Amino acid sequence: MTIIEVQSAAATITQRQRWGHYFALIYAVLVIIIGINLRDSAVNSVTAYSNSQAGIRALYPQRWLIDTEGDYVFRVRNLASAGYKTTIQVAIEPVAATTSIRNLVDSLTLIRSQQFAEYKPLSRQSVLLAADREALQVEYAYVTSGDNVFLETLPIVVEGIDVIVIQRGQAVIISFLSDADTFEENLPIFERFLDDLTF
Amino acid sequence: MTGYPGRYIDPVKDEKQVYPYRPVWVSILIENGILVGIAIVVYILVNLIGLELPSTLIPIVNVGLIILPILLWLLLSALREQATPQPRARLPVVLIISALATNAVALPFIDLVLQPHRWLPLENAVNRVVGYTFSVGIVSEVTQYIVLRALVWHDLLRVRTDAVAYSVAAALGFSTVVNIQFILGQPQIAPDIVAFRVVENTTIHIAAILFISLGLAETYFDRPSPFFMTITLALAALILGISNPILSGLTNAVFSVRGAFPRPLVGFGYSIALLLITMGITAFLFSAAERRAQEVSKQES
Repeated sequence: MTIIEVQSAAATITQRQRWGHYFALIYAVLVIIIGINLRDSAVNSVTAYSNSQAGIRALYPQRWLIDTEGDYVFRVRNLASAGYKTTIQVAIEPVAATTSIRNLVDSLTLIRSQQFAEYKPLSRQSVLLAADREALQVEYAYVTSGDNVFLETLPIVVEGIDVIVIQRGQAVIISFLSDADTFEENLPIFERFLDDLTF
Repeated sequence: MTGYPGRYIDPVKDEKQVYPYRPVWVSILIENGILVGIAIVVYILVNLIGLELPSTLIPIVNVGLIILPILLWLLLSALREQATPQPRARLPVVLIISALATNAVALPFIDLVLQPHRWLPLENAVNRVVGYTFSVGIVSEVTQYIVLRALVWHDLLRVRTDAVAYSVAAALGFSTVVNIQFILGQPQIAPDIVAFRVVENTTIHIAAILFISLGLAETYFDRPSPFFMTITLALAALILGISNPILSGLTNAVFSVRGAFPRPLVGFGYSIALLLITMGITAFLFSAAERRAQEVSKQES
């Protein structure tokens, strides 16, 4: 029996081999950086919306579906999100000169506790919007079964934020609603929306 | 009469020549062939015969299907390797380190940093191919390349096909972790879906890493351009980048006037065809390189 020795191994690493590996690693790092850049441009790409009648200009995420037919100025929804469709909504309510933000929040809480199952306010705090405009931010949660009552699924916990500003005799209510499981992941989208919103 | 019509009194015996290394191409074909066969049997049992497993048994069957590629590899590659005169050392180590690197680095980086699920599903076809190549593809392949470079390069490459054997071990480690993550969130998923997913992940990762093995072998044994390793790494990432959108497009249901029907068999067929084509191309390139090296050594001697 003869064992065929096919080839002996190379002894040391040559300069060419070393550069071969360096180029491969440099290429990988560059491609990953380009990949992150592509992700950022896709995730952060926006579409402009303006309503001169309401005096609102906003940049909402591209590919979100806009709706202006309801009792709000506009609403955008991410129909690609699993579970509850992440929603940003801007509404304007006329208010009396004596109405404070606190009154408005209490009124919203009463209305929503009748509209939504297990509606619970979680927190409220003052925040500063762009141009040092003061606002009240209310965080809350409720349970929904979605639009399709025949869909065999567990109810979804929805977490929301209302940012309320009173100016020129009207309250601007900016709402953000998301599936509680993905709330933290989606929150930066709302924060960017708030930064770009002018009214 | 000069001839010698009769038999030799003491005939010259042809000495049996033994190739001292396990032939890797045959092993890849046999292991993946058995894997594909088992997946088809599971598909027939569930979809055509209508076998319904008890819900307690489904997770066990799924786990069995997930570890099947590694079991086949252990039986048909790792154990057979020990029977050869010069077995390849540290094959299981490469598999384990590749799996650990995948679980600890590659998949968390893909899920938490690159987040392809957030931006790629809605892009058009070209952007999806580019996006998957520049995210999932490159991270997967560079992880396996670094494992091979660290564990195999210095002292374990003796012949060109050694690179293939170690690369397949790294690919199996990677694909097994991907398969485990697939069933972790949905242990009750139907076994036929798991079987097809296991075959798809395994064959596609092996198909992609064959190019990296070519790059490693050529860089080690020959004097290619310093960019050759980079080109093979890019090709491997491109294979994953193309396969991801194609598989999800083929496997997911397509809406039509007659309803929505998934086409799992088409995706299954695609991954098998991809492996066979890639094996054909790389085996040809390996053999051409081997012949070229032998001719050069003959001329030198």
